[in-house]
Amino acid sequence: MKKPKPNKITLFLIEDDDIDAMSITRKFKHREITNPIIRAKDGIEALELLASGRISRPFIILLDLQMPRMNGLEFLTKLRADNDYKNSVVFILSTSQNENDIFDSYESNVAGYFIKDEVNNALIDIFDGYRDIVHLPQAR
Amino acid sequence: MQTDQELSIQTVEKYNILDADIDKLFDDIVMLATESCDKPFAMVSFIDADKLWVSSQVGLFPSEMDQKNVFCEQTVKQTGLLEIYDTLFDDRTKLNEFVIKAPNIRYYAGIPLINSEKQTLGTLCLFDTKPNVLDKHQKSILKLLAKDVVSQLELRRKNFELSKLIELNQLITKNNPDLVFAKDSDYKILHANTAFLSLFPEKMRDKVIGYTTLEIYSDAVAATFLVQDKLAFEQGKAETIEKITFPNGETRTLFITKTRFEDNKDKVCILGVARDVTEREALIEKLKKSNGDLDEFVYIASHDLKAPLNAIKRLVSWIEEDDCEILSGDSLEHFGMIKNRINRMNMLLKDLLDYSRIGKNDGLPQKLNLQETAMHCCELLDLPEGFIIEVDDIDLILPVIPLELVLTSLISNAVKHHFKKSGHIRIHCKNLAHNYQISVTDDGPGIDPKLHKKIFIKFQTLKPRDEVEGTGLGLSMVEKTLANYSGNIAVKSDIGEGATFTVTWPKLKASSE
Repeated sequence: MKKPKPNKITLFLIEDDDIDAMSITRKFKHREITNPIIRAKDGIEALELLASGRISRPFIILLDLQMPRMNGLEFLTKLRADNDYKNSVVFILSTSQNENDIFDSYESNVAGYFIKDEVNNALIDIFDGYRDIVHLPQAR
Repeated sequence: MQTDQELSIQTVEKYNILDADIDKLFDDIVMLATESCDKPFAMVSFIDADKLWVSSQVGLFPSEMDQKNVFCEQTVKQTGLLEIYDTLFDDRTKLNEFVIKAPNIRYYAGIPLINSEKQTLGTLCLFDTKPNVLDKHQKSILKLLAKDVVSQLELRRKNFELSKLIELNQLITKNNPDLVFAKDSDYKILHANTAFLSLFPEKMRDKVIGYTTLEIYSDAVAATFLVQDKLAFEQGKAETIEKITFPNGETRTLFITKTRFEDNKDKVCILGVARDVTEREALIEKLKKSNGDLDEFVYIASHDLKAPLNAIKRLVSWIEEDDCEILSGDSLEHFGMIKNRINRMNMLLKDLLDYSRIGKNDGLPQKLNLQETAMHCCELLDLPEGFIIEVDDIDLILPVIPLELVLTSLISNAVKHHFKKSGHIRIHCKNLAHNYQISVTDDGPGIDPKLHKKIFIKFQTLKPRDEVEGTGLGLSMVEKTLANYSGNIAVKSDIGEGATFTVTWPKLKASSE
């Protein structure tokens, strides 16, 4: 199996807050991480983007929970029921420290749950290393 | 003497012997006395106020005898029989008008009527118009008859008291708004008060006592009644709050207590008392909801306010990062001030959230060491090095989370408001019978007594927040926390004399060791 170049992995960011989204793109820029970032502002837009085929593999999803129209957990349920995308790798990045949110997220097989106030630059460090060594599913 | 008489008057009233029917009550005994003792005259007299009055009598006595009965007046002063064989030869009686004139009494024998409490109620006495004497046998009969009079009086008193009690009981039964009833072991109603009976339609009311009445309730309600009844029969007591739909269609919330008891035939029964708590329960429900709403509101408000605040903070730091070299010194200072205000706002929101959560997850009282707890608080506070904290080494039983909140707040205040870079804080605890009295004393600048009230008010600070950072919620939180445990806090301080905050914390029973 051929491993794609680390910087070809798309970060699919599903986040309603402009500044939180900006914060990620700024950090990518600072660290000269050139991976493409595609952003959706809620679950519905994210599903539309996936359906349109604009999110090309390989990609990972960074998902917020509190969002208008369709929240993160609702999106996750839809995603896991979708035959094309149920194998997607999803990380949660939320302000919620609620035990139920954490539990429900892992019930939907997320790869990790991070709390916004706690991550600072560590998340970028993780992504930086992760993209180098991870093997992600290819389309069949 | 005076007090003895007062005592006796009260006694007479208690026996209810001032009634009209008493006049004839002892006629038979008096008759028997004259016949068995072979004396022509006899009477029963009672003490009423400071006089004696004649109740039953055989033979005719002048009506003035009621007022001037010098014979019986003598008798009630002693405990045994008084016998005057010849009144003309007795100093006490020889000049008496009833001796000198008609009916010319020459002989007297009187026995005091003394009850079980050793109170003299009156006399049983015999008279003759010639000198006379009682033989041994007659004396015994007289004593027996006197005893009989007293027993009859005692019975009368008990009856009288009982009838008063019954009257009172009837009044209670009629007027008690609680539903009171008694059931036997077949769940049949033995007794019900007016309030209970009035729940039933008028034509049904004679079908309540002696019936279970369960058939007129819905199956579900009847089942809960039976469950509670059984519980009361088995365990002696059952308590429940239930919504009940009455036979008249009304639905009320009742607090029902059922208590097992044995009737006078040793049959096991239950006594039920149902109090209508509909309004109270509705109010509690309303209050719970509005408290819940308030908690939720505070939580959401402080949570949702934090997000834009953090966004502002980030934007400001991005501007600094990106354009720091083109900003003027003033602008950079202003940015610093913006960030400082953002931090303050964050602290306020955190405190507000903490304040709303006080008492939510306090945990149970447990055995803890005051010194260890205080030191743990100090570690988290990250105090400047110059401060010495001295704490009593004493074991207490208190919930640890609220105690830490109180200690942290008081220690942090003592350090924060200190005018020097070093200081001495002493935490002392008095273990009183019902309270712990924990005092935190500092050697700081002290607080003007005029401001003592103000420091406990929410959001009040004594110095501008730009000089001493603080939300003004610290002591309010301490006060609210203590209020949850019926405790309180007081301050003793004056300018230049340091301050002592004394916490009074009522002792709680440790629920588990």
